[in-house]
Amino acid sequence: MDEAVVHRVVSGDHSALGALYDLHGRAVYTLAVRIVGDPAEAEEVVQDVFLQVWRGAARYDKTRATVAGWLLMMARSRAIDRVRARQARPVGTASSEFTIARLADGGIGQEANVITGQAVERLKLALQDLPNAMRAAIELAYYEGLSQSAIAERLGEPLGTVKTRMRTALQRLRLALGPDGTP
Amino acid sequence: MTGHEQYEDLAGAYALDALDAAERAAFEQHLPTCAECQQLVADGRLVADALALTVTPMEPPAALRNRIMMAASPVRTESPLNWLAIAAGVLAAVGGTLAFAEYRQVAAAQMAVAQAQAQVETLQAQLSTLQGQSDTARQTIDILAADDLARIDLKGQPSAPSSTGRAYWSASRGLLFSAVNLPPLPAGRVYQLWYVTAAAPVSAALVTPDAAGRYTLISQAPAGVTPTAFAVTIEPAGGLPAPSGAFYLLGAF
Repeated sequence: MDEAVVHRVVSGDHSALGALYDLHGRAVYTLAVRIVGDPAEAEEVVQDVFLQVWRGAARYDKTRATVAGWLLMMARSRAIDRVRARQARPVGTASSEFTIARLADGGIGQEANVITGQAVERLKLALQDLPNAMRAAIELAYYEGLSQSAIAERLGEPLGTVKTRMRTALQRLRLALGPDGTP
Repeated sequence: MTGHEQYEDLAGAYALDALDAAERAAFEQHLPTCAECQQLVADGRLVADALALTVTPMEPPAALRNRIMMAASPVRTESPLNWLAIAAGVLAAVGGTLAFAEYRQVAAAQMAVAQAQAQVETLQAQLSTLQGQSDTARQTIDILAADDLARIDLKGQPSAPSSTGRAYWSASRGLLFSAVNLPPLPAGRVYQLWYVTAAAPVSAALVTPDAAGRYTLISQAPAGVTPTAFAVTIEPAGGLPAPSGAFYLLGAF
């Protein structure tokens, strides 16, 4: 159903854009505020994301992500770019835009999973249960777009330690989501 | 031979886009060949998607929806502008990730795209003006070449003795009407052109002359209307369904 709305938007159906916004605008805005901090700038991110979809400049591939996951990925990428532009951070960060390009290219085919509300609740608990250093590694990567070496630098820890922590943390969080993110 | 183990550590970070460029490149070479790593990446992406949903939801301001809907113009045409917009977007995206020398090239390309965009906009505006003029000329010729063409001269009435008008009427092709020397309109008033018929008069158009008192109209023939005369009256702004004000121009067949 979500996917059909996206196709209607891309084919120029103005009301479908409103429907897509009503379904996902809040989640996109929430993530944008979490990353950029400033609500006004977060609004610009949200506008960028939905207009990108409207102009057909971003292709949706259902084998790569759910519609929500796709919109959130675009929002995260744009939000992180804004944070970086503000910090004028020249090197040492991974490139979110490259990830977008890669994902849009497809390649590894599999059905995208739908994440239920219960799975998200379990994930929240699992996040709270993580040791602080592990949670910091995940949050710095996800919300600030830092690479592992940039995280190591920020936390003043050896790169190997950061890698191990991130890997362990991801395994725990993945387990918390359940077999395929469904209850 | 490099084993899977060394990549296993990278898969999760890859899904979070937290690898440095060299590691990412190496991992991307390995990834297509390794089902285990593909599964690890998928797992990592699932976590990443879910992380976005763990943030306490915030309600965006209502005005944001309106702004997006307004910015998304409802009428989209397949014009070069769309492609230029996409090109500009790609350049902007690429620009964020390049070294300075390449950045300058991208900046130059962005400028070129912006210039091309401006040119296309100008040309499109000119084209639409010319299309309008060409449509008007074709309609005019259509009416003047009609087999059933009639010419009716309209005389200025006591309210506007120096005004004159002329109607070329074809029941099959439509009406070509022009008037000159119409007096300036008082505020809140408008001239209205009427088809005078055997039954009630039928409104043809609201007439707003230019500063020199000139007015021209090309209109299709309304269905079932057989005019016996044409008249211009003065009416309240917005016009009326039937004439109420003084006659300014009048001419019968």
